[in-house]
Amino acid sequence: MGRQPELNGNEARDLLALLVQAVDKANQGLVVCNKKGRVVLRNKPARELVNARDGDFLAEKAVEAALGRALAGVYHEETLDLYSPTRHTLKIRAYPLGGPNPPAGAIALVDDVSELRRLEAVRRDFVANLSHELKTPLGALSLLAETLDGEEDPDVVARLTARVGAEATRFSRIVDDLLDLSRIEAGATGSLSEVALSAVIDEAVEGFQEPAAARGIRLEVTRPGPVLNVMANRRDLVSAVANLVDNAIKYSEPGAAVYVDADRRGDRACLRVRDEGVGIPRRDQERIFERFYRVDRARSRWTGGTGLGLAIVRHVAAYHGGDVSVDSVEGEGSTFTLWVPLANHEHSRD
Amino acid sequence: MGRAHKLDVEANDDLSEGQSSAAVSLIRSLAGTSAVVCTHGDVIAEILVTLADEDRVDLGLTPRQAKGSVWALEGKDSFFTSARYFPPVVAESV
Repeated sequence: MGRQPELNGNEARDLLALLVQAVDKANQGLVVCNKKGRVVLRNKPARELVNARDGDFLAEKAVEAALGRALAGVYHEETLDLYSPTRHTLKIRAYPLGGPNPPAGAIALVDDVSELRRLEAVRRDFVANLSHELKTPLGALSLLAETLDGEEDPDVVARLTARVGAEATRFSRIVDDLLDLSRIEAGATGSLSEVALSAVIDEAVEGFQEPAAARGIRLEVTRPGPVLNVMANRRDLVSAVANLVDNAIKYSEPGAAVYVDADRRGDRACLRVRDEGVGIPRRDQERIFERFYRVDRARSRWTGGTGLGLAIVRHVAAYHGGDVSVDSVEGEGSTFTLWVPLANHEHSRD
Repeated sequence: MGRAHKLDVEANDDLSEGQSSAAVSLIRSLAGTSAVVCTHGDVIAEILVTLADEDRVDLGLTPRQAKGSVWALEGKDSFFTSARYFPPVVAESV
């Protein structure tokens, strides 16, 4: 390795300015102090992470302490949970520079790991939920099998056998929904093609007229007046609409109606599924699209929901470049609105 | 068992075979109290699965309910938090 060529004053200043610009471009906060502990460099992310907000006084103190440890020749690492002005988590690592004894300075690296932490928590919750959701029907099968063993009363055997069938169906529906969700999340959805929204609605409600009528629920469908075409994976969009209709029927009482209609709003199609059912408490409305989140676990148990239907709807909407929202009043009913971009030539009709 | 725990014994139709939802309501009303409940296998299965579903009680991967076995449930305010299985006591041969 050759020696670094000696720099004159101007060259050294230019190089320093270049280095400061370079470290400003890093994603990581970087704070450097000299051997006396005086901060001589703080890059832009460090300024934003550590001393931009009132609540980050604690972060600034933590970075100073970490640099102090590093100046004593000790590598230091800590994770700091801050709650003001917003909840966030910083990971601070500090290393001695030069030296080794005593170090010529120290550097602290600061990472905002809030999103990483959130994703880890989501993943942990999902695995815990998934484990519980799969274990419950399996456990039921185990209990029912032991009860059936040696049972001689034909009525009891028939009842237990029906329960075994129901639990097996439940298990298989959870697995089916998980596979669907996994396929959609992985982006293995195939290409989008132009689809008539009225055809999607017809296919989605097709299987529900009879069960709705059997429960005394009116299913009223209003197709979009002019032909409205969207860019969609037909199968997934039908599945999303069917999920919304299924839920609307399940959460309605006999005598109520479920309405499905669609129209055009700007460059998007807007499809609504409205019910006059039990409604969703305000506190739950933000969470109902999460995997395995259930507002009423008892009701979900009797209606046979997997807890994945609305998560599938949200993912389908997202990969179509659309969105789904809910407007609900407890005791009055809910309206789910699915937004999907129109097919390109539809835009030219404006 | 009633004598051992100094408890009165009451017959209750909600615990009859096939009365699973009535049995679940009865069990919920007993959450947080000391009670011993005897019922049929199909009703026990339904109660346990309901508590696993609705209260997220962990029954383990392969829960059992052999004849003469006991499930100890803990909870309060109509809500259960844990369930523990005790296999039947086998009398020692003389």
